[in-house]
Amino acid sequence: MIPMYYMTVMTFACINILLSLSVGVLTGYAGQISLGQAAFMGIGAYTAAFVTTKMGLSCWLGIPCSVFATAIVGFGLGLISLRLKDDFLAIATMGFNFVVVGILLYAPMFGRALGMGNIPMLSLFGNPLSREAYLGFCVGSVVAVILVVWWLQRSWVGLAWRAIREVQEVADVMGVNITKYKIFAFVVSTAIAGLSGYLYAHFVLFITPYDFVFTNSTFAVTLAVLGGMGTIRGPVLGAIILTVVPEYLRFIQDYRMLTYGLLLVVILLFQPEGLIGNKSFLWTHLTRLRIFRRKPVSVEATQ
Amino acid sequence: MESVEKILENWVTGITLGSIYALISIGMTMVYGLIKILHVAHASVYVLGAFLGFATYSLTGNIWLAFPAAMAGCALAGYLIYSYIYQRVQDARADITFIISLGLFMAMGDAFRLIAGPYSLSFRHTFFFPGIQSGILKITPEQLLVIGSSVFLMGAIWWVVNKTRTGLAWKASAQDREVAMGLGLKVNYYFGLNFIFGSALAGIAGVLVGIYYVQVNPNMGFLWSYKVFVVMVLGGLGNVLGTVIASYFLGVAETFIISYFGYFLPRDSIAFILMIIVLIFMPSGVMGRRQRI
Repeated sequence: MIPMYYMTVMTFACINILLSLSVGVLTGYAGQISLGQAAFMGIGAYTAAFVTTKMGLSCWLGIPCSVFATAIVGFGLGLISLRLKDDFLAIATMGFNFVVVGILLYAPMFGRALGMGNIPMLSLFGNPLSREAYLGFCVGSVVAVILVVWWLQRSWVGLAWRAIREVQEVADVMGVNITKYKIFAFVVSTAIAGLSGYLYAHFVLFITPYDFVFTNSTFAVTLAVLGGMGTIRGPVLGAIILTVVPEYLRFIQDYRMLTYGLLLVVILLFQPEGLIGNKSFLWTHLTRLRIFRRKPVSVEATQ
Repeated sequence: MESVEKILENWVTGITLGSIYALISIGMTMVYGLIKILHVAHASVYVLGAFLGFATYSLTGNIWLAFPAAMAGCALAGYLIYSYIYQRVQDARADITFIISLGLFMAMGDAFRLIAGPYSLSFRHTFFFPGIQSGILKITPEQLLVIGSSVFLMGAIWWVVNKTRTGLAWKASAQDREVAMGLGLKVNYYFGLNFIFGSALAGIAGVLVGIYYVQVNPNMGFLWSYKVFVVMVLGGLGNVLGTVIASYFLGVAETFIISYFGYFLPRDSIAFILMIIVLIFMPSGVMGRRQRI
């Protein structure tokens, strides 16, 4: 039996992994920066809360609703990204986060600053899921999302994303449909963020707009940057580190923003590929170790 | 004439607010015009200025000493930020440098909170000159100080940019860094100088805001930093004149909207919606057609 405390930490780790992966897909693979991921998580969480508490639907219906609602908004942001690049896109998404929080704080049907409470726990055939089962559900979602992202990144979609990330103009000339793949990246990324918001809402059972402020968007970026962009393992590791380590080093909690800010600066200055990104110090040395070294594949064998 | 009085009062408040926006955003705009980095940490430099000014004032009891102290401290901070961080990543992608700046902003903001405590410190002060109070027009000494000093400083910046060799060097390196270097311009020296100027301005702005709102607190940079983006985008990124005009426009518009309609949305949301619309449809700002400093 795992103690309650560890399960809570692990569940939060799952939620953060999803958030981090959503940045990993958008910024790591497609090269489009978003500083509004917390807002998408918020949209997912509020949709989940709205579907169950206000509309009285089954909490399982919340999954498609949350994912779909965030994906639609993500589609809109994808359209914006067609006209904006790099730092302009960053400040536009940042502004988007402020606007979303502003609307949540203002709209009476979302409970304003008090947020939404009484969100039911997930239940199967009338029995609410235990914390263990919920953790299992979260881990399952993470695995499913990782599989989807892994499949996408090794398909043509992933190639197109990387082409857009490197030099967009060249990708355009080479016949990559920029419009389609950029928007698709936004839709996938925001859908993942929405799913993490759904899991968050049904875990803490009480959400306020302050859970989804801009600071949390920068936190999401920190997770992915710490682990390493352009990979799947990077964002996952980053999320695990930044969820678990503060639990053991409690004094860090007081210096949260200081730590995250310095982490961002130091990593981007000295290890732009993150801890275990493709060209990072750690990863190159790890893969050089004998046990990880693969047997050289002969040319004939591949043909 | 109740309404005329109210309109005048709104104008004065709006112009004061606009002056503060302008002082903060000029530094950021100049940085963007030169090295194309969205320097969010500039807002932290401004908070640093407020705290340095407050500390000097509490120690010496002389409000005029607060200004040179804040200027010197902020200029140093700005120079260090440039030479130790930005100079290394000048050629990196624009969003990477932006995230670095954001990280710096977060870290500095938290450092201020840890050093000075999370509470507001009261900035009590007395002035030796009176405000203007003639009939319906009322300007407090604080407002007079803010407006007067910002007009003076903007004049000074205009003079430096347009009438000195330094300004010429800035313009040249903003247009084409490689060519400027090739012609023997010490580009890094002039960039450092630019950071020193802009940060000193932010320091003065910090002290002025502290005096105007009678308090300093570690979160005072938080909203301003994002507000400055709105100003910069409206004015056209890197366009100093446009930024100044946009600052006053935003200051006055905000004051009037809130005075007459109240908060129909949180006021920052209005500014950000405006910013996104301008970014999408007028990427070079309402004012400018091309980049210049």
